[in-house]
Amino acid sequence: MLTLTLLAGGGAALGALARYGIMQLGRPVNNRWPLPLTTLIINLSGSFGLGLLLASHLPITWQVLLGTGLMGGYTTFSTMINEVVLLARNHHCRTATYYLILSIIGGIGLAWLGTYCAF
Amino acid sequence: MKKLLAIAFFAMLGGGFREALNLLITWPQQFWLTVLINVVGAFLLSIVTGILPVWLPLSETVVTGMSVGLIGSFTTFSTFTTETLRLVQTSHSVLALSYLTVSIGLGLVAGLGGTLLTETWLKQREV
Repeated sequence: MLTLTLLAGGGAALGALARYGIMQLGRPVNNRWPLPLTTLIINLSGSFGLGLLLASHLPITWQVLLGTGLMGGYTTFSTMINEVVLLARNHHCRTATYYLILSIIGGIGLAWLGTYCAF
Repeated sequence: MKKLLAIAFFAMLGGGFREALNLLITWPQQFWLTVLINVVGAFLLSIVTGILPVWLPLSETVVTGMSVGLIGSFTTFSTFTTETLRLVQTSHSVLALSYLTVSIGLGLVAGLGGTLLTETWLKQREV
């Protein structure tokens, strides 16, 4: 159990760093539109990645390191939800709705696409 | 650089804690645990960025580490989407819809609750 927890933690550390890096890079783009494009890209690409990993026949240690850890830590639910709340409270209800729908439908769609690219 | 180390350290705790919970708690329908994790995280995010740095003498580095790293990695979006997909693909459409609705519904309530609580707390402190 300790090994799996450490693997997930290590993967999550890398995933969170990648997420932070993309958020820093995307800052100028994000300031231009109300839609939080960086979180959207992160969550969509991460859904694709996890879909691909889950459909690939990897040993449990790799699944936990790359799936639960890397992809789990890279994508984030809390930021997405709080961005929706913030948009709605700042009278960007339409953008909030689009963002939520794009995240969910796009995320599930890309996860599905990922399963087809499995190795 | 210090910020990156803080994010990595706290993300290790967040991601590790999520995996530990999944190993320790075994439910007949394990995916509800992800819902719980995501809802709790959605609530905690505004507390960590709003209340915690005022309440405790935390540096900006630690706060970034805790919000981006700890809460960001504790919650997960990819498991939410792949789990919904799996339920659809295994013909559990009703369960898939419930999972999706409860995740987003409770998540939004928790996110709004955390935001309002933080605002109220900060306002009361000013008085």
